[in-house]
Amino acid sequence: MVGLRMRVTYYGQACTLIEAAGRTILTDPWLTEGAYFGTWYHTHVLAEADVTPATIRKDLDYIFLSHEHEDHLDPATLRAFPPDIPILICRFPTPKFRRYLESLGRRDIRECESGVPIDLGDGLEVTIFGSAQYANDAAILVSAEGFTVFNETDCKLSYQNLERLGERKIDIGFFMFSGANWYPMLYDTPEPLKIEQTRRRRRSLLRSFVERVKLVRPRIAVPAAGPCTVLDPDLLWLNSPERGVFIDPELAVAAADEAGVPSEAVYMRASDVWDSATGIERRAPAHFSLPRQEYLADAAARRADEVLARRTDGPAAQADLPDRLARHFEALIAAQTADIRARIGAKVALDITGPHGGAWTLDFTSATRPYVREGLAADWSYRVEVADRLLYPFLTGEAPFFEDLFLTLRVALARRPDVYNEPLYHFFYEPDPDKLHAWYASPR
Amino acid sequence: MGDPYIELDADDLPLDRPVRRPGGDAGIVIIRTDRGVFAYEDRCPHAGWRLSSGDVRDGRLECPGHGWEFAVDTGACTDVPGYALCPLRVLSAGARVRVECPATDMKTGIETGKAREEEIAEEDAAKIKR
Repeated sequence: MVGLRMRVTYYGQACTLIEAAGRTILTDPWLTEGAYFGTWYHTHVLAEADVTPATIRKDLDYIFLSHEHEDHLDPATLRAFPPDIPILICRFPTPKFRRYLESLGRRDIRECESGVPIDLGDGLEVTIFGSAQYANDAAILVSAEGFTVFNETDCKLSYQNLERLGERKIDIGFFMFSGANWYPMLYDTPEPLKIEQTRRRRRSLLRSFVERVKLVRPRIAVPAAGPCTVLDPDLLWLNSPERGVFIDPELAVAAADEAGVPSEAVYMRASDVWDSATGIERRAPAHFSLPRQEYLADAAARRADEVLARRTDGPAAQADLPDRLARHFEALIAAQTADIRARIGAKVALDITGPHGGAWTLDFTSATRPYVREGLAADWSYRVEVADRLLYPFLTGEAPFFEDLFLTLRVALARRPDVYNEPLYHFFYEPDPDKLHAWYASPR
Repeated sequence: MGDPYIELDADDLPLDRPVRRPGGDAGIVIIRTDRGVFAYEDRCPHAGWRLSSGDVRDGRLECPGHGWEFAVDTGACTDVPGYALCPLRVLSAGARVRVECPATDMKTGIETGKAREEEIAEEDAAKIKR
């Protein structure tokens, strides 16, 4: 590449290859399929565009990783890159993310202060912005050769940071536009109410996409991170516009157009390229442009064998599941302050199916130990039904992030009353006692 | 120091449409419903978005940022217990409404300045036209 020019190749979800000033930055590479125990596929199966960990270029200058979710940081993809490539991450309140990267063998991890530009030489400037949420996440702004690209990943930035970005004359921005979690689909809510909750969630997600584009005002806005495509025959209903929050990018483009955003909203499919000199280059296979439901039906049929193999290739749970469960949660709950336990205030019923299943209650309301008791409390406030084989790796440490259990979309949930318990979610996300205490001690 | 309060005619406030006015560090969002006039600091406690760009439905104000909803009459978040908007005192006398302003940060007051006030007035005018 010669002259003043920037190229950005889109590889699905939040993965972009940014080339400028003779340098390359790859963001959030997730180039396999079947994340979260086989559930999550890309909007379009990347291998069908010949995008895989084997085919992606390896001579990168930097990799930016926003957070630990598998659709952003895929260990299998990351292993394909030399261990010495510098990894750029945001400096988060705890070292959890950095330590995870170290455990994956990364040898050059560079933590960046949120909002502080870094000069990487040759006119390449990078600014990483940290999330406004409890959960770790980050977005990246890259400027070089007089061009600027913004990749929000699926990070929820503060309004103030989005306003700052609006002053940066961004050429192309990649934005989250879809639900990326399990609400309301996995709850036992009556169907009509769930459909209404889904409708409301989708409306607010699209509105949010539009509003963020309006604030950031890039010349081109691309709906990128967020959605999961499910190809498991038992879970295909999650792709439904009526029953799932995983939105078709086409709808995000339409919402942006309808709202008259000051940007050109463009649907980039995996392997499409934006070039500052020539604009959008359509490189994705033709069948990626099929109507969404048609593509989904075809892809589910094409990948059926692979999907079914993924379903059964995990190890079984072991007989020590009950001991591990009691020890794991007892230690985590006991480590919290009394104030945090009171804030959580939940009785979590774990109803575990399978040969080593059983029933336990995590009682955050108890004044004394033990907090973990066998049996389901009659007055449980949150209930998780899960197969023993799915839960087991979270108890052994093989699966390090408990929230991933929910992201498998293979659990059944209920809550009484039907109200979001944010402190409980934060506990599941990162039960670090100091972080939880600090979060709730600070005014907001 | 900013003004300690602002006054306006209730008839100038569109029904169930939030309106932004300058005041305090974050600005003020005022909402007229069939149950009265309510005012809050114009900042969502979640990620700092302006509620004045949100929608009112069924007595709830929806943040445009991430969809959190707040009861218009109490400011309590109806999605995530434990969060609430910062309420401002509203006094009504006939058609006149007086909203007490939150304390103003001097620096922010300078930054918002006259240009921002005009921008806000234009936004409100556009909103009322809709």
